[in-house]
Amino acid sequence: MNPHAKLIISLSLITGTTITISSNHWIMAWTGLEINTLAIIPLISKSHHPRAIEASIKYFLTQSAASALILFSSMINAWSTGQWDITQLNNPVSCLMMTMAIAIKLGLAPFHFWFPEVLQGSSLTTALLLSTLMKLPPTILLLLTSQSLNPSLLTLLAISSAVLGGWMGLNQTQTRKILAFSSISHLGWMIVIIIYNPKLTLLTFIIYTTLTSAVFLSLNQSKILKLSTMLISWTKTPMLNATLMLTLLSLAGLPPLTGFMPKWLIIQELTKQEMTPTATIITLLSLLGLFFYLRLAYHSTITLPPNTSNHMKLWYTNKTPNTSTAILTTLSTLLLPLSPLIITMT
Amino acid sequence: MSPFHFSFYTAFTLSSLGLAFHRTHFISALLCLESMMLSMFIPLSLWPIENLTPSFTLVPILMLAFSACEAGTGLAMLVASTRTHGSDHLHTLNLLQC
Amino acid sequence: MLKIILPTAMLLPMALLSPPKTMWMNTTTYSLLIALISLQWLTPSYYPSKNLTLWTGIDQISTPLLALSCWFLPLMILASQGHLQHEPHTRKRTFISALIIIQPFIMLAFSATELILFYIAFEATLIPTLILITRWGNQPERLSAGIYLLFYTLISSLPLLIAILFLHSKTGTLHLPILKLTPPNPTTQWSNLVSNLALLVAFMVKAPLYGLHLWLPKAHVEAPIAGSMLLAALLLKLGGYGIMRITLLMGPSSSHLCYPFLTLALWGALMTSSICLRQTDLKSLIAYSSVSHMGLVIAASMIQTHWSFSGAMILMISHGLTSSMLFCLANTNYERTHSRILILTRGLQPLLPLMSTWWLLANMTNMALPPTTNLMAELTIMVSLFNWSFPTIILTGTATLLTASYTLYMLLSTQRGTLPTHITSTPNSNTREHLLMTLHIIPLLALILKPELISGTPL
Repeated sequence: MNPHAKLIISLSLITGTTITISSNHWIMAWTGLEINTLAIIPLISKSHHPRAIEASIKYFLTQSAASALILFSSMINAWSTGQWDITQLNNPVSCLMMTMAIAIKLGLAPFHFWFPEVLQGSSLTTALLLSTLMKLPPTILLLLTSQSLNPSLLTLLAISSAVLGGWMGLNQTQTRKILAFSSISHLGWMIVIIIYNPKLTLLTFIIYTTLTSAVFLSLNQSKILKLSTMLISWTKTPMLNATLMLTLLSLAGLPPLTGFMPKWLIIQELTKQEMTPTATIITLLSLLGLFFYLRLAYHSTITLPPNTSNHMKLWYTNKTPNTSTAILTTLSTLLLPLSPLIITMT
Repeated sequence: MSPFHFSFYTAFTLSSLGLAFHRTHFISALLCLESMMLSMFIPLSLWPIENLTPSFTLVPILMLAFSACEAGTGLAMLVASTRTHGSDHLHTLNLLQC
Repeated sequence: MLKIILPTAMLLPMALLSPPKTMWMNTTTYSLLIALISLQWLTPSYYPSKNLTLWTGIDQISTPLLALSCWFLPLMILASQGHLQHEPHTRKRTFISALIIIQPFIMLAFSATELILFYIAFEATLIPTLILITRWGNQPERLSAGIYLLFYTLISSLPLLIAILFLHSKTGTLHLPILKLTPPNPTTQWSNLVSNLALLVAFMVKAPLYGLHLWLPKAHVEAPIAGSMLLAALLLKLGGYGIMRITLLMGPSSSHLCYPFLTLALWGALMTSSICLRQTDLKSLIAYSSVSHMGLVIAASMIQTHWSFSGAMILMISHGLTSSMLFCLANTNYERTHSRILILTRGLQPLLPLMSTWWLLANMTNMALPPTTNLMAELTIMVSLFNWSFPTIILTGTATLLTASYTLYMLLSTQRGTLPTHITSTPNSNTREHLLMTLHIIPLLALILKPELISGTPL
């Protein structure tokens, strides 16, 4: 890709996100979302492959329909209340439509069908952008409107995302699709807490971003797109594969790793809010996700096959892992002892 | 509900229903998106008149500009899909299904 | 506390940095030194907890288990030398570091006074154990064994986490000494029952209770020797320790909750002993014998009397040493014959005569013959169970009988009889293995001289 085009695209991605998360007016929030959508589409479709084009068309249709819905519902709210403030979303109809539109934008459970397919069609780095940076503005909008949202609807959305994210990820062999479903179930964890403690949602989002960036960058290092590629990648980067296993288990939320912190805090907040059954359900549903993370972990380093003769020879390049992968991996495994500090910071 | 509200609600609802249920051609989806945007142009341009806020008059133009950009992107992808898939039928986009 | 945990953590750089020639020696001596220093915890004290810091405290219940876990690190390193000798050097390093990483977590779990810290340390042992079993096991079935281990433990312990946090939201603290002083929370009967159940089941799976034990034989059979020793000696004890801690908190409401667990534990002791009698796999037999012994521990810690607690403590320590020794012996056979099947490895006495002495001693302790702490523990538990309810003597008595019979069966089938024809030559047993057995049997025999060291409450 042309470096100038790349510069413009990345700048407008940053601009769009910044405009949305710092705006106070629905029109500006919508503008930021549109800029984001228009900027990511060249990134998805930069390889002129049928899959990339298909992914970008699917992404474009869902995102533009969702942002039109956002504008529509904010306009209903504006006509009934007379203001365009994001935090004052008082009209119940527009509240409902806004939840639905943001659920489409985020890929929450009943509206999640586009997300794994788009991730499958794009490259690993773009998939990383799609599952982290592109989810930040809708999450922030949901955070800002969180006082007026319907608690039971959001809990329903969250639990169904946890179910579907865990359940459908079991059947996948493509790493990007697995990570897409893991993103869906993590979104469930973020959404379940958003009304009771919005800051915790942000913390969960940040930690999820760290973990998933570490995973995506490690996979990108040896171009792992399938489980079978993962099985022979230990010959290229053995150390990275060993840490990748830890990062994956951290993404699953096993205790001594960073990923346990958001789960712990969310369960604590839910039990404080007298929502222990919800906490139990969503915690046990995270075990579904654990199964496919465990399978990824098995493939990454635990089952070392004696030979690689069943597979096509992969081109061996002696690429050293970059620093950001190292930093992110360290953060995503060893951050749990610092959790009191992190809780006070948020 | 005033007739004006009714008209734009129905316009938006009909075009979004069209987007949701009439999914043979990509171009028809693009047209439905465009009509969703245009149906919102009416209330946005009426808002400054009704509420006497002249500073808001720029907003419908902004929205039109973005919807034009969106339509342009959509048409670009229409061309791309015609080149890669040979048609603009949405049901040919089945390479990535789970 | 830090005096032990910090050196244990510093074992990790030592294992990673020491030169290839002296790596085994360095780590073994260093961990033996730590085990020696940890013996100072055994000094009796009249305070409720020795070495109380902000998050950790050591009392009479945790002291013997801590000393045991310090003792087992050098033994595990010693035992793994055999099956690792053909591996490349870096893999040996990673194996030793996986063993070392578990150690601080186990010690934290045994000494934590904060329930969340306890939970985190309890769960943190899971990932290194998983790596030990699934990466270093031998058969392809090790993957499903790892999945069984992980999912059995997590399905039961996630409700534990929720119950702990529920307790926190009700009482405002999770510090064990303070938690004992807070009055029982006036929640409804139903939620109290559910939360008590959630608190108990995690440890019941870890212990394991009969019915929730299916992961254990699989994990034992597939694990390398260090993994088996770790599971039998320390991780199962984590379950028993957790039950003893939690039942103290739950108060009178658990009086009717204990019936199903007691029934399952005693019935399970009987059933698993009978399963042992028709077992064909040596490691699986030892694993089922662990389940049967831990059933006695669970039963004793459910009735919550002083005698039963000390019986459970003594049985945990002596069973840890005994079953670990049996696993070591099974491993020495496995390394020579590459088979765990009892029929294929029978009659080894003529080939390894000195080893059959260790077999005899280990089996004698396993079936609780007089000069061992096993006998004392089983007697104490049976007496306190008999005092609690007369008919339990039928179950415990039959279980003891069956224990003796399957232990004799194991001894006779491995040592006596004719040698199978396919075993033509085996390597001799070496000094390392004899040292390993000696280090297992010395504490077992010496502890009978002063059993109040491991009896929890002074007898």
